[in-house]
Amino acid sequence: MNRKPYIRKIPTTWWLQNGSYRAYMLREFSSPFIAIYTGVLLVGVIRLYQGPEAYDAWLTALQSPLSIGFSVIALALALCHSLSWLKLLPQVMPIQFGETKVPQAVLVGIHYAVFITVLIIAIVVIKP
Amino acid sequence: MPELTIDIEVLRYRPETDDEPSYQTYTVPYQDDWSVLDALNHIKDHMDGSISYRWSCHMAVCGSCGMMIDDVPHLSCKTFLRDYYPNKVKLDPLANFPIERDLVVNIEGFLEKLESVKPYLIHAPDDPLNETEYLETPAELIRFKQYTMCINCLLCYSACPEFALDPDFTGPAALTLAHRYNVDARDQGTAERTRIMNTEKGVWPCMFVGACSEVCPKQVDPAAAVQQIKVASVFDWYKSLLPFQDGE
Amino acid sequence: MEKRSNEGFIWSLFAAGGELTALITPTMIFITGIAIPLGLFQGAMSYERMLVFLTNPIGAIILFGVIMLSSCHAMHRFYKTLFDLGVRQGLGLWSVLSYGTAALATVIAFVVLLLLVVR
Repeated sequence: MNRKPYIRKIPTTWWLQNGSYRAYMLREFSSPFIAIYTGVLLVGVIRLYQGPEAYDAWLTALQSPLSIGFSVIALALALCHSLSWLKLLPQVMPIQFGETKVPQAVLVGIHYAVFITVLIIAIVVIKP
Repeated sequence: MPELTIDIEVLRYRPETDDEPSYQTYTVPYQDDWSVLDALNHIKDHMDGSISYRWSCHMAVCGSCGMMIDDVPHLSCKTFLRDYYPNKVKLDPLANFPIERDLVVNIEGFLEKLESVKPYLIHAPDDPLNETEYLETPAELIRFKQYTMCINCLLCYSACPEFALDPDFTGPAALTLAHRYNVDARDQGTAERTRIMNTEKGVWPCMFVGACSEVCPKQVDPAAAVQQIKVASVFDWYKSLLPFQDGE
Repeated sequence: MEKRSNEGFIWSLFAAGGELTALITPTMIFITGIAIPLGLFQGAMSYERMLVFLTNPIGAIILFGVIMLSSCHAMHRFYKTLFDLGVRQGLGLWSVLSYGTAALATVIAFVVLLLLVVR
């Protein structure tokens, strides 16, 4: 008898199908925002090189509602990326001492501690 | 008291008459200790002998009864009607594979991939260990023990969107089994397997969606194995830049 | 058939950037994009302060690392997301645009930061 395998089509909206796909896509959508934010930083460096007036204009531009709105969205998506990355890293790099595997929760906890430390150091350093 | 019933909606595909699959609903007796596989066996034995599906052990070991149950990949032997009752249960063949007939899918592609990654212990013919026992310490064992639990049920392939988008992707289970031997202290085949993993369709289509590990009925965590292969593959890439390569 | 992919190299930059952005990018966006523009930490990012920070080689190297790894991470993920969303035509062009943008940002950051440090 002839075989006639049937191949089902994958809808373009497959990533809406379930919760883990949606969470995945939300994390992936952080990339254009992180890219644009990095571009904003790069412009800041160029403006700094150009002199005080150029740099102050960059600081003023950051105060526009558009810029602040962008930053709020970018912050939310960057946090999505951080949460998923910090959660997943122990799977990528498991740590084992002798016959004991370090529990993933411990590794995730250490990771969060580093995140918080960065935040605190940044605020302490930036305070004039 | 009238007998309780539950509706089972099954995707039927009979290649000799059908051009595309369609759903057929069977109303079966509801028993709260019945798995979905029990309901299918009831249909096959008492209602419609033409229905096709795979099963063997009925105890989550053989890995043959995987299917989409309400669009989520599960083993039908360890998924119970009581978790769906009184709603109907929708059954589809494992997603991302060609349908051979009804709930039976074509897994030839997977078998080829599994073979390609050489999932068995490899050692050189002149290895002095060939003359003795291959001892494995407990510390060495726990590095890969979870990966040995894989039963090739292919739920992970059905959960993986990257495999759906690119059927040539080696995929979670085959990669996990390759990794299982790569981290086995008795094995010397890492270099052979790494050549397959390093290719475009080897490990790289994976985007770490993580769905494979969520659906795994044996807690194998294929996503972890695949990411660890990526890390090893990165080291291998940088190593390939070195002027003096290991002889092969 | 067994051709080595260069994804290993790209992925190493992606992963390093992913780790870096996971740990510091939310903090950076909060400070530079929200706190400073809203007037918190008055004068913290003044021209004089930032000039001192970025004319110092260590400060410049840190910011160069942030820009290089963040852009490599983000543009690799962006390109892969296009594939996920079903883009198949012109993928070659998209890859040149994506990785090209990351490379361009890296080169510009390198040149400008170098000019800042040596002047």
